[in-house]
Amino acid sequence: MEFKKESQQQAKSFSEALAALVGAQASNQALEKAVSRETLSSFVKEFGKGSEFWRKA
Amino acid sequence: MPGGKRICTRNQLIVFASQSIAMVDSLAELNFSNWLLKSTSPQSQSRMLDYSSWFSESMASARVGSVCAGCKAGGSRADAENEARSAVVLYSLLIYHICPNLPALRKKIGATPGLRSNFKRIKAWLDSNGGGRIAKDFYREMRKQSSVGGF
Repeated sequence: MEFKKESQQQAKSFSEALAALVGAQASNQALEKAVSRETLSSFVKEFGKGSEFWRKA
Repeated sequence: MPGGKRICTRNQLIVFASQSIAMVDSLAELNFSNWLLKSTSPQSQSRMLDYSSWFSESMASARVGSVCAGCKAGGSRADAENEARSAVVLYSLLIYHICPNLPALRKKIGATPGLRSNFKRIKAWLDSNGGGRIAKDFYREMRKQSSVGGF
């Protein structure tokens, strides 16, 4: 439990967590090639605050 | 090759080529998973050991929600989009490459209703939005980056 709290505090952002996971800072180019603008828009629409998605949980 | 015997037909060659491509793809995927599990630094492993926490309400729901809100709000839009893209890639890696290789993690997520629910919801979205391809494309780009330097 203590460890979980620590891990949440240390990984302050998704980019930091991703860097920790792969052992290197992800370049903007790598992120943009992997996640297209359309996919990003869909993600934001689906998971954004106030979306129906999380209310269903 | 005049007078030489034909070793195989054109169709056999096509089948052989397809099988070879599939084999190379499987090997690349295996290497990818191994890389993720083995090349992560010990310090990073200790930070990220509890991968299941990324499917908790506070992380998956609240944090993803605020990242998406940042994209809509404008301001430093590039940073917000970068963060959202990192979230998509992180969940793709966790769901398609880390979880399948860590039975204890799968068990923990499966046994905890809140984690299981968030995992399923995120996976459902990734499944319909090319999550597997996202993870592979990210890996490919990072490998390119490594040939230039770093990684």
